[in-house]
Amino acid sequence: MGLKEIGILIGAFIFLLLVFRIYNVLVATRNAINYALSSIDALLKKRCDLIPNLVETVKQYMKYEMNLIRELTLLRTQAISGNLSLQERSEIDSKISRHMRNIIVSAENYPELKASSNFLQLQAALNEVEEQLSAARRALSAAITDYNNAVRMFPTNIMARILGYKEYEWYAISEESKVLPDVRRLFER
Amino acid sequence: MRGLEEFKEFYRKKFYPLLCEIEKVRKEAASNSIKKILLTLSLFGALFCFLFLYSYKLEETPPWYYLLYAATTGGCVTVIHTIVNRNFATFRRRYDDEVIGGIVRFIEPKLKYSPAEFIPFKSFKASRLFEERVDRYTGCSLIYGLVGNTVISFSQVHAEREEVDVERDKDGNTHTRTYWVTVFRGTFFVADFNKHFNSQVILKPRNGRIVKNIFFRSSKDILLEDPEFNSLFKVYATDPVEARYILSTSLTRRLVELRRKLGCKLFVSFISPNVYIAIPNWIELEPSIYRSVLNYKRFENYFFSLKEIVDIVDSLNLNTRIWSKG
Repeated sequence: MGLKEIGILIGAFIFLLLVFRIYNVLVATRNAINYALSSIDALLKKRCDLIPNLVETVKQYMKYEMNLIRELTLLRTQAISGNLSLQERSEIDSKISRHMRNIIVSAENYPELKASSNFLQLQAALNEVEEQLSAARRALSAAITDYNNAVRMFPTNIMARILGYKEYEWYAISEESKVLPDVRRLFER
Repeated sequence: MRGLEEFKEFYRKKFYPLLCEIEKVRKEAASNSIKKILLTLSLFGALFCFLFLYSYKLEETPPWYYLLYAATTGGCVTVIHTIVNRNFATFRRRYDDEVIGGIVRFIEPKLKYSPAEFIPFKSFKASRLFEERVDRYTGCSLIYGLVGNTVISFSQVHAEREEVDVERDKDGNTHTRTYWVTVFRGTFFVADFNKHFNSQVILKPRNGRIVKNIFFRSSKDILLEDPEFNSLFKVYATDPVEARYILSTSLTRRLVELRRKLGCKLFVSFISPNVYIAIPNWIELEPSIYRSVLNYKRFENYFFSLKEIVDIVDSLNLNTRIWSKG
């Protein structure tokens, strides 16, 4: 085998390594998006699981927020029923977030409830799940940035075009969560 | 936590009288030692002279005779060492318990000081901050206890690995040279982290530029939202979602500020249930028997150095326990 042939073989080997690397990067970035999405799903479910406990704890004390509590129970039933589109699911989740926040803020009016150990534990669990959700959304955002960069940038964009990978849509914040909470209304309750 | 003005007042009112008392103990120990050392030197000197003069009487000095010289010198050094250790034992104990322990308790009343102990090697290894082989691990000045709701401990540690160089000379004989390479030398801090987590997050100082393109970057190297944080730390994590849960946007900012405040490279890891911080900056708390203890500047430096480390709890907001971990 001559020098020319060895050169061609080395070149082909490097080219193959490059192709593998590009392919792996694309798959890894797409998997990172799926991983973040499934984490968000799991955390939303975890939050839904906290609702029955929250309702049980607050309904003994809260006399004037029964509507809010009822709505929250209904929203939970809808959320766990399945058969929902991504948009419907996202809307229900943001409504659940808002209702839970309102219940926690309303608890300020009930000193006995605020002091109850059950409520304190629930509040801690809710804080935790909300922060975990925020972390999962940040992870999703980072994963989408990496994936979209890979789809757009050279040399990964060539392979992305061959594999039919398209840019991923940014995680949309639902219209409801974009609205600032009406603090005055909460205090007037 | 208490500030410099309070420390100055504490020094003036309570600490200075104590230091005067301890200085008296040091001076007494020094004068006792000098007397005993002089006596020892004269006794061993006489013995040495006798051996030297006796050697003239012998026709030929036998080889074991040189051993007698060596034993006399070794004995003299050992006796002097014992005298110094015994005489200064009270001074050292009081200095550790009352002076350094006093500063530690002044900073945070629930903290304790143990001069001979240090963070165990098991914890050092568990931090996963230094994956290199460690053959010798020593340390001192362990400070441990509660700061608010957070259990902390920190000490000075020195981790080294042994290296062997093999050289071949002109004749083909091999010569080995053994030397020690420092893996880490400085303050090692361990605290109970305020959140529950299962994965591992390791932060190492970033050397070189940030690689944003995923093609050139390892998928385990995570970039966060704060560009200044990214320029200072390289983040390795086993779970990108949990890494972001631990490294909230506020914590990343706090880490940047802590790095700026300490003014040196920081190695940080989050391995359940603890946060480990390695600061390559040695704090010397050992007493000196040759220097007067009546030196305000020295204790102000101790106060600042120790407070900086204890303040990490506040800097990283570790006392905020609003999550399910109490």
